[in-house]
Amino acid sequence: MLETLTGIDLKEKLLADYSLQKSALLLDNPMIASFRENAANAFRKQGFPSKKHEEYRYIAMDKFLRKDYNHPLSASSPTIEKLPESILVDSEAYRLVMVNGFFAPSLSLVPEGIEGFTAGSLAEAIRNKNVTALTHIGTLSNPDADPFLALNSAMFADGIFIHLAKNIVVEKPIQIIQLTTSDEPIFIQPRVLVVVEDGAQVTLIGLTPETQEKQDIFINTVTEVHCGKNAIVHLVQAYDHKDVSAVHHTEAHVHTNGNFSHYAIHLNGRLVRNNLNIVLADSHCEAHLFGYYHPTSDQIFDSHTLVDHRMPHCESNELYKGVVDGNGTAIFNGKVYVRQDAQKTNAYQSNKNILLSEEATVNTKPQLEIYADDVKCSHGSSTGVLDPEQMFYLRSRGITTPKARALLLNAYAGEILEKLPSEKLRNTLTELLLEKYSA
Amino acid sequence: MLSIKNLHARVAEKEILKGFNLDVKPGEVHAIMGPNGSGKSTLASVLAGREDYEVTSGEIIFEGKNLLELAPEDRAREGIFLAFQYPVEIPGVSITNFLKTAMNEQREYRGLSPIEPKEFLQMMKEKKALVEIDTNLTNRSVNEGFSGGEKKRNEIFQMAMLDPKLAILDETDSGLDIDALRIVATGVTQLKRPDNACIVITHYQRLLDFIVPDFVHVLFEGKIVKSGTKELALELEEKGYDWIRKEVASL
Ligand SMILES: Nc1ncnc2c1ncn2[C@@H]1O[C@H](COP(=O)(O)OP(=O)(O)O)[C@@H](O)[C@H]1O
Ligand SMILES: [Mg+2]
Repeated sequence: MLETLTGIDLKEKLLADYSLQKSALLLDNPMIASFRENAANAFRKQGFPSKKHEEYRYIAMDKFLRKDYNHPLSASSPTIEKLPESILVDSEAYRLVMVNGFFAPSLSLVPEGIEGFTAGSLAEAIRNKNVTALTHIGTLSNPDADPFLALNSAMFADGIFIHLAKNIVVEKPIQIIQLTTSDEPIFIQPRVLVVVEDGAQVTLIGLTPETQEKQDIFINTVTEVHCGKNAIVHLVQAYDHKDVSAVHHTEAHVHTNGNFSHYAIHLNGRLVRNNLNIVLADSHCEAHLFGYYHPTSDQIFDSHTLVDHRMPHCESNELYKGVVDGNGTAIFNGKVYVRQDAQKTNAYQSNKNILLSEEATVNTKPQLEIYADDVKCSHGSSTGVLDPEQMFYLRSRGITTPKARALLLNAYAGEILEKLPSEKLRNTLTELLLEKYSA
Repeated sequence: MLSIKNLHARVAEKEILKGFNLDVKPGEVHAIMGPNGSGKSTLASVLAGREDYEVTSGEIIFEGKNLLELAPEDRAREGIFLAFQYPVEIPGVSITNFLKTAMNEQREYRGLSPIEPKEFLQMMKEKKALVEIDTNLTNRSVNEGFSGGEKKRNEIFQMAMLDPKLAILDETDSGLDIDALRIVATGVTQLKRPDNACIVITHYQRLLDFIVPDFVHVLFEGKIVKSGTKELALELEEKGYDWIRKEVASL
């Protein structure tokens, strides 16, 4: 049985919504309707994954699925009136705010009247029959490949749509902020569609920050990124919300000379599962994958990444690092495929872990599959503890153990954080981490 | 200031120090010499509080306190400083951040407020000049990619910044060319005051031409077998450690 039992109840409940909520799901659009139908069938077949599911074997998903999850299919009037200043990386930069998965115009700052640059609600784009949105949605992802992907495809009700036409360069980072507010447990499913046409450039900073309410929140997000020829895209996905269980499926396709960088930063969450698939679809593409995770207490942070080298002369470079404390669990599964046509590929992958407690767990599995013969590839993983010699050196200068640990951990995380495409974000995350070290 | 009595210590089940005694008073410089493996670094490690070294008997009193009961960081905050024989590299931690943290942790212990950034920078500048260390080096991560000599100089620089009561220099002279040796020694000499003291561990007498010791002790197989004044160092240089070996054997 690949499905979980608690999951079956929730599955039935969600699928019942699927049949009833036709207008919320934009099913009057025939394209969307057929895409949804296909996805709903795929989800019906797969159900929520149990530990017998090869790709979810380390997660007892039952723990995170509640049959009493409410599944909002329309925007509630936002109870949040103002964004906390601390989460803004630039108060003048564009920001796209979602509340419970629904685009919140009153909290957002969107481009208006800029030729070739659209950013805002995905549902609205679909309702307005935006051609770019309709021709791109769902084209990168196959719902049979993953149950959460299938479920989101069947049932997302809103999210974000960003479109940059040819050669449009957005200088300042665009923030995508996922806020949650609820007095009951909720299951929400935002969808993010990013279309960056040839020669365009953009930096997107996604963040799910801590909010006041203490409710179980499940966020099942799908992000699709089309990175055109010569385009440059940076995408940060940061989670820092203790009551959130998140599965985030990201699909990116990169075209000739395109350059895609992804940053997965997992600081807090009950569960954060990062499914990241990057396809280097043409030649001379680059992909950079950086990850930093820091599970403590019972947190589970899991990254399953895939870089698919399909064509020659591409480069991919992956570095995921983590610190695991308390009863925390970190999982890293990194696949790199180098297909037969992908000669002259450079592919590097590295995963490093530090365990801070006896109860902490790391499962790391790098998988390199190479079918081309003229390539340079390497991968490696390591799991260790803080270097006792370094600790002693610091302590011998009068630095107490917690401070010495913080210095070393900060240096360790720094290797990832310094790669982030925003200095303000780097500083904010560094401070959040320092709190975590001294906890 | 420091009184070590009948110290026995072991590491990895092996007894290294076997009844070590030493008294150090304020203002004094003690040199400890001895062949490789005689236990010099073990002594330094025990004084600094390295955890894999187990003291099986004896006592160490520093400024009236039982040193053996203190954690390494508290020993440092009480005024002990060890210049390591093999300083460790700490990538990603800048010397400036490291020293500021160390200094403020020590100040906190003494009930002082954190140092003013301006005062800290001024102090960095002064002490850098003292050990002739350049800014390029202090902007880097602690010891990362430093040459052997740069590491040793960085130890003395930290000592100058932290201003300890008792400094223990473990073979700070090894691996230094004559210029570096002179710089290190000048640094140490300039930091000497009537109220602080220094234990200079060395293999050769070379360093003692620059840092003139009040006492010279010979450590052999875990205890001091001979003590004297600076002339003893010269004698050792001339006759080698075999001389000591024979003398000990004849006892
Ligand atoms: N961590 C350790 N584990 C095992 N043996 C050690 C360790 N540290 C020192 N020793 C042994 O203790 C003896 C004394 O070493 P050390 O104090 O470093 O001597 P010195 O500094 O005088 O050369 C040597 O035989 C050395 O091999
Ligand atoms: Mg030694």
